[in-house]
Amino acid sequence: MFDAALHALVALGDPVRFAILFGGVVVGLALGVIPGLGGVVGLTLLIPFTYKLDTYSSFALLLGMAAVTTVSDLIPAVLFGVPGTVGAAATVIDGHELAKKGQAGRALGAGYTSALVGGVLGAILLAAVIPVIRPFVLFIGSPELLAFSIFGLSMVAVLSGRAPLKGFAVAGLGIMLAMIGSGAPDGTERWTFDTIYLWDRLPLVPFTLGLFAMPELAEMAISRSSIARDASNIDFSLTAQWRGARDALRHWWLVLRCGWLGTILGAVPGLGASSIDWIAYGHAVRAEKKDPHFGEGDIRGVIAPEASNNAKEGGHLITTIAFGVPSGASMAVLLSAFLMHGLVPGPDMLTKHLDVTFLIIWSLTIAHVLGGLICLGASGIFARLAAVPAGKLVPIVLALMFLSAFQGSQSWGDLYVMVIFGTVGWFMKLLKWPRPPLMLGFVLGGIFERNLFISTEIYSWGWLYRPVVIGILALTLWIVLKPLRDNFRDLMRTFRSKRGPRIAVNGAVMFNIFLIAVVVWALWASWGWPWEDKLVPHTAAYAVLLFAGVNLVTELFYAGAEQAEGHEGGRGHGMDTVIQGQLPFARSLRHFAWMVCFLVVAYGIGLLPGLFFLILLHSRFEFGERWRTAVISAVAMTAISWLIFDHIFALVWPQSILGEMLPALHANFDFI
Amino acid sequence: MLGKTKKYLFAAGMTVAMASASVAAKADSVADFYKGKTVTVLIGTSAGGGYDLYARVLAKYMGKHIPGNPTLVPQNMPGAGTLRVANYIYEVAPKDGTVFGTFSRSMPLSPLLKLPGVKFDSLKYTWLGSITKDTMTCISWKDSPVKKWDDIFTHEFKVGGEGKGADPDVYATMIKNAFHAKIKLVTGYPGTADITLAMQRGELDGVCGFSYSSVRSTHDDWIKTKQINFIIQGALEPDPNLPGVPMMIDEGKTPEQKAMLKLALAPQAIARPFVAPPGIPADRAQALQKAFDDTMKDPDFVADAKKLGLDVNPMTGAQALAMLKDIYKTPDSVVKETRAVMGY
Repeated sequence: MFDAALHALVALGDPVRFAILFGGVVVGLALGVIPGLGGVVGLTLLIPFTYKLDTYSSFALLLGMAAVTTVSDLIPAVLFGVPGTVGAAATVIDGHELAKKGQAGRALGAGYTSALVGGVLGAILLAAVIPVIRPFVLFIGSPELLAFSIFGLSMVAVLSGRAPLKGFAVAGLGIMLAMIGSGAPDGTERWTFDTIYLWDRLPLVPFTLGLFAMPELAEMAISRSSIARDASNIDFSLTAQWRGARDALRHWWLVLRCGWLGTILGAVPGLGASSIDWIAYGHAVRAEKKDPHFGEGDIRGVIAPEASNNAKEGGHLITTIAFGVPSGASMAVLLSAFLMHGLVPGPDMLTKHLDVTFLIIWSLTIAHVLGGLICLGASGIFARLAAVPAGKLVPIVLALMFLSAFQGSQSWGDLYVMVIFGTVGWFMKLLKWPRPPLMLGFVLGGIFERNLFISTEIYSWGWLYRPVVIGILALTLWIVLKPLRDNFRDLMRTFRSKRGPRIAVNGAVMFNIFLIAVVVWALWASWGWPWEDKLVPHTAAYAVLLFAGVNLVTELFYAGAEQAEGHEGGRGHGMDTVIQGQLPFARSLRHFAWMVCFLVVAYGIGLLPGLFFLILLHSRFEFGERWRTAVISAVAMTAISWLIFDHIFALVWPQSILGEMLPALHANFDFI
Repeated sequence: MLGKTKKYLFAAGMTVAMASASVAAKADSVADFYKGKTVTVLIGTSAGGGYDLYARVLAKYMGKHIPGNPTLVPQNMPGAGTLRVANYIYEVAPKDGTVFGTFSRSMPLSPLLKLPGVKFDSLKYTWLGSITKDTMTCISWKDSPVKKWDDIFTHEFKVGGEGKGADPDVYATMIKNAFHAKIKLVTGYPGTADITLAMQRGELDGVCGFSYSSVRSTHDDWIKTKQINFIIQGALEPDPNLPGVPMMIDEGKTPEQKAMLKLALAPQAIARPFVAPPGIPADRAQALQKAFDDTMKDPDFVADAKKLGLDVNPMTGAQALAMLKDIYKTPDSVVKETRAVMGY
C-alpha cells in the first residue's frame, strides 16, 4: 500500500504532470467562480483532452479541476450572495452578511482555509479507509439512506432559528416541491402542468439561484448600495484575509468535525452536495453555543459549510472508486473517464490499480492546497468588488445569473423557475421566513420518499431494527429534542401572552394566506392520485397547513407578542428599515418589472440579445450610469458570455420568436 | 484525396452519359452548403453515459465523410428520458441538414405505444442509422437462489427498478406479466449503478433490462469471474457473447405472445440510433446517410470505438426505417396487450 502511495506521489512529481495538475486547478477555480458552472461542465470539457494523455496525467488534470470548484465557489457566495456551485448555498447565509459589514476579506480568508483543510482531510480519510472501504459502503443500504435523509431533514428544527412554525411549514413546502415531476412510486407525473420540462423535477441550479441569490441582488439594486453597506469601514488589506484564516484555525475543532461529517456524508450515495453543506451548517448552529449570531454574519457559518463542502469530494470518491456508484452528477462524468482509460471501478482499484487510486488521492490533496493558496493570494482583488457601487455591478451579475440558471437544463423553464423562486425568496427574506428549511426539504424530499418505499418494500418494519439506522435515528432525536422543546415552550408562551391590540392584516399575513392557498390548491389538484404517490406529498402538505395555520393565528392575533425571526432575520437595521420608505417600494416593484420585461424581450429576440439590452438599459435608466459605461458593460459582458458559453461550452441557445419567424437569421446567428 | 478525385470522375462520367449537369451540380451544392458550416449533434442525455460517448466518437469522425467537411459539434440536451430531444429534432430543429441527434433506443416505439408527451412520428425522421445493436439481459448476483431461467418460477426474484417507464421496470414487469414469473419489482433506485450496489449487498437478487454492453463496459470483471448469472437475453437475434442463455422470444408460447415480445425487444436492434429532422433536402439527407455508413467503415473510427470499449455493429438508415415500418404494422390488439404487459 505504501509502495503504491509513494509510486503515485513520484509519478505526480513529474514536472509535466504537475503542470497539468496546476492547469486543472486553474480551470477549476475559474469554473467555480461562475455560478451554475462547476465540476460537471469542467469534466465534460476536459475529458476529450485526456484522450491523448496517459492515465496518471489524465486523472491529475480531471481531479485537479474537480477538486477546487468548491474552493472558489465561495467568492460569489460571499460577495454577491450567489452560490458559485450548489454546495456553497449555506455559505451565503453568513458569508454574505459578513461582506455587507465590510468583512468580505475575512470571510474569504476563513472560507479558503476551511476549504483547504477540509479538502485535505477528505483525501486523508479516503486514503485511510481504503482497506475497509468495501465493507463500509456495503453497510449502507436503503434503510440507512432513509435514516440519513431523516437526519438531514431534522436539521430543519435547527435551521428554522427563532421562527420554528415558519421553518416547519416551508420545509413541508420544500418536500412538496421535490415531488414535482416523474418518478413517483406508482408513476404519476406529479404537478407537471402538462409540460415535459417538469418531468425531470425542478432543476436545482435555477431554484437555488432564485431562492438565495435573486433576493440579495434585488436588495442591492433597491438600496442602491455597494455590497458592503457602509463603504467607509471596508477592510481591503491582506491582513483581513489572514484574520479570517486565523479564525478558521481558532475554530479548528469545528473544521475537523465538519470535514469528517462532509466526507462521511459524501460517501453516502444519494446525499449530494446540495444537502451536505446545510447539514454541516445546521451542526454548527446546534453545537456552537458560545456567543452565536448565526445568520447575522457569524464566521463559523462560513467555516462549517466550506470545510464539509470540500471534504465531501473525498467521500464521493469512496463509492465511485470502490463500486462504480457515482454520488452525484460530476462523479457520473468522472466514471466515464475511468472507463475510457480502461479502468473498471471496483475491487481492482484497490488492488491492481491501487497506484491510480493513490494518484487520485494525491491529486485531490495537492489541488486543494494549490487552490486554497491561489485564492488566498488573489482574494484581495475580489474583496475590492465589495466597494463597487450597485449600478455598475448589479446589471452584470444579473445577466450572469440568467446565463447560469439557463445551464440548469437549457430551457426557458430554467429562467422562469429562477424568477418565480427569486420572487418567493424575496418575500421570504423580507417577511423573515427562513429559507434554509425550504432548501433542505427540497433536496432531501426525493431521497426520503424513494428510500421509504424501497425500505418498507424489502424489509417491511424490519428496516427500523438495523443497528446503523438505530444509531442515526438516536442521533437525530438528540439533535432535535432540545430545539423542539424550546420552540414548543416559546409557542405556548406566545399563546399565554396578552393578545395583541387588534387583528393586524399586513404583508406577512397575506404571504401566509398565499402559502396556504397554494398548498390547498396542490392538494385539490392531486386528489385523484394513487395512494403511494400521495403518501409523502400529502403528508407534507398537511404539515404545511398545520404549521402555517398556527403561524397565521399567531400573526393575526398575537402580532407583537412573538419575536418570529429566522436565522436570516434579526438584523433590524440596514435594508429592513430602508425598505419601509415609499421610494424603495416603487423601486422593488420596478426591479421585478425589469426581470419580467427581460424574460419577454429574451423570448422575443433571443437570450443573448436580451441580456445585451438588459445590461444596457438597466445600467442607463435604472441606475443612471452614463451611456458610455452602459454600452461598455453591455458589449463586453455579451461578447464574453458568447465566447464562453457558445464556443467553449457549446450551449444550445433557446430559439426566440424572431428566430422562428426568420429561420435564415436563426441559421446564421444561432443565439437568436 | 483519391476518394475526392474518384467522386469527381464519377460525376463527370455521369454528366457526359446523361448529358445533364444536374447531378454534378447537386453534389457540388451539398459540398458548397456544408463548407465552413457547423453541424450540431444533439445528445438526449447528459454527459457521461453510453449515448453521450457514442455520439461524441461519431461526431469526431463523421465530419470528414460529409461533402464540404463541416465541423461536427456535440451538444447535450438532456430531458424527460431523451423525449425532449426527440421532440426537438422533430419539431424545432432547423430542417436544413445542420442538425441531427441521438436518443434512447426505446423512443422510436413510443408513438406506437401511445406514451405521453410524444410529439413525433418515428417513421418521418430522416434516419441515419444505428451504430450498434444490443441485448437486454436479466442478471442475478452469485449469492442469489435464482441462477437460471427456470428458477424464477420457483423462487422469488427480487429486482430493482428506477421508476415507471425506465428499462429495468419495463422489462421486469413484462417478464412477470407475460410469463407469470415470481418477480418482485422494487422500484425507486436512482440508477442502474445503485441497483447493482443493492444487489451486491443482498438487498436485491438482481436486475432486468440491463443491456449486455453496459454490463460489459461497467463490470467486465463480473463476467470474467462469474460473479453474476445471466438469466435470460432479450433481442431479435441471439448474442454470440451469451451462449446457452435462453432467448426471451423462444420462451413465448403463442404467436401473439411471440409478436408481443418481438415488438418489445425491437429497440435492441437500433441500440444507438441517429436521426435528422424530417423533410430536409433530399440531397443533403442522402449525403448524411452515406456519411454515416462511411464512418461506420472508417478504420480510425472503428479503432477509436474499440479503444473505448464501444461495439460497432451498424445498421443503415434505410434498414432501421424498414424495420420500424415492419414493427408499426403490428396489429392493434397486440400493441394494446404489449402496452399492458409492459406496465404502461
